[in-house]
Amino acid sequence: MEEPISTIVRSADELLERGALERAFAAHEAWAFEAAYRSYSRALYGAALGVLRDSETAQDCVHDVLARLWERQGNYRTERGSLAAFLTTCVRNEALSHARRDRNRGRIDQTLAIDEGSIEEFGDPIERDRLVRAVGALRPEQRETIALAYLRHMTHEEIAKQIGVPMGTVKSRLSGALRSLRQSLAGEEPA
Amino acid sequence: MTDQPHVHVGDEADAFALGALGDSENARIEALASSCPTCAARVGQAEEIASQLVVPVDPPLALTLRVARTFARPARSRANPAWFAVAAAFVIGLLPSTYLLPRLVYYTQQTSARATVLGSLVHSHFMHAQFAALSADAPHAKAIYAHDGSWIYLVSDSPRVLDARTEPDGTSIGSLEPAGNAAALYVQRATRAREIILYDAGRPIAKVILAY
Repeated sequence: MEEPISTIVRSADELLERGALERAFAAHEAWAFEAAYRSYSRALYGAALGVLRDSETAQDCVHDVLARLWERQGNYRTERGSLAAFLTTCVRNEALSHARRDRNRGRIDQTLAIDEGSIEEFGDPIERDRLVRAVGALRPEQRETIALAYLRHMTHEEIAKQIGVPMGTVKSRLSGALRSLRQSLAGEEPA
Repeated sequence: MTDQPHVHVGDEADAFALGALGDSENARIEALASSCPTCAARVGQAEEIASQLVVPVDPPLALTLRVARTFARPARSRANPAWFAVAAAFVIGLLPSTYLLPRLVYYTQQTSARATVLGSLVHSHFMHAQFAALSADAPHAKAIYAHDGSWIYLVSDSPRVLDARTEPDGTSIGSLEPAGNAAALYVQRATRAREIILYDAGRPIAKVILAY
């Protein structure tokens, strides 16, 4: 009596084994775009809201990024790895671009003032603690650089001017910070 | 004019993943990652770590529905091999039948709907509930539905065409279509359905309550 459902679920397992979503997304299949949204919607919306601070604008941002990726084929290839990380980066960079345009129009001062509270204001407290600990473990110069980039939405050029170091130093500090975060975040993963 | 030699992306990948580059630099890194497997892997490695700094937030239902609508349309309208088969058949004059075209259109739509169902089942949180029989000849049927109510998949173990209506308003949400010895209906919705009744030729035969 349950054959129809179990048949369907078996088929889904066969069709969507590990990596199948990534391959379907890279092959530009429409169902994969919606499935990717459903799988990673919390990260995508969190990425947009963390920067833009406004639900309507954040929703537009997530939707528009997916729509644009649909219109332009070939942005994602499986060699890039995690589809979730790719989409999250696309959404966050789009949100940052939007926020910087607003800042250049003089509409961002208030946003900047509350950005550093973004982690406190939104999201899961366990996630928040995990991030605060990981960032807190960075060397002071790395922490400062990543805070200016990630929380104050500065470009590497702006950071270089702000702290008075060459752009190459900023890039090197950001890379060092990511390497440290990779270790500390991986160390916190359950076995 | 000679082509510039390709230089793989380096530490800029980290600045890109952290959002520390401007629009034009982002576009340059994207172009490298789109065209070169080595650059794609380097950028992906940075994205993997940087994306962990994002604090996830539950999105509003409105966004979920908007995304579903956007990708439901191209799924049905984009070129499909079945359409090429239809075109080829007409060009060579083998199948200029008024019977064949609706059949091919139907199977094309079913294939698209099936892919949507499979994607929904595997990639979203869903619940399920058994239909309760309201008559002796009711088939065994089940409702599988998204936790946020954005889609419902009704399946029965009988190939009968049954009309599904939401209660108490009695609005029809479609008919279960035969598929082999079973029948199924997939619908996307803007609101959560609370109760669904299956009708056979106007007669209510099974009912399910959907809890969220």
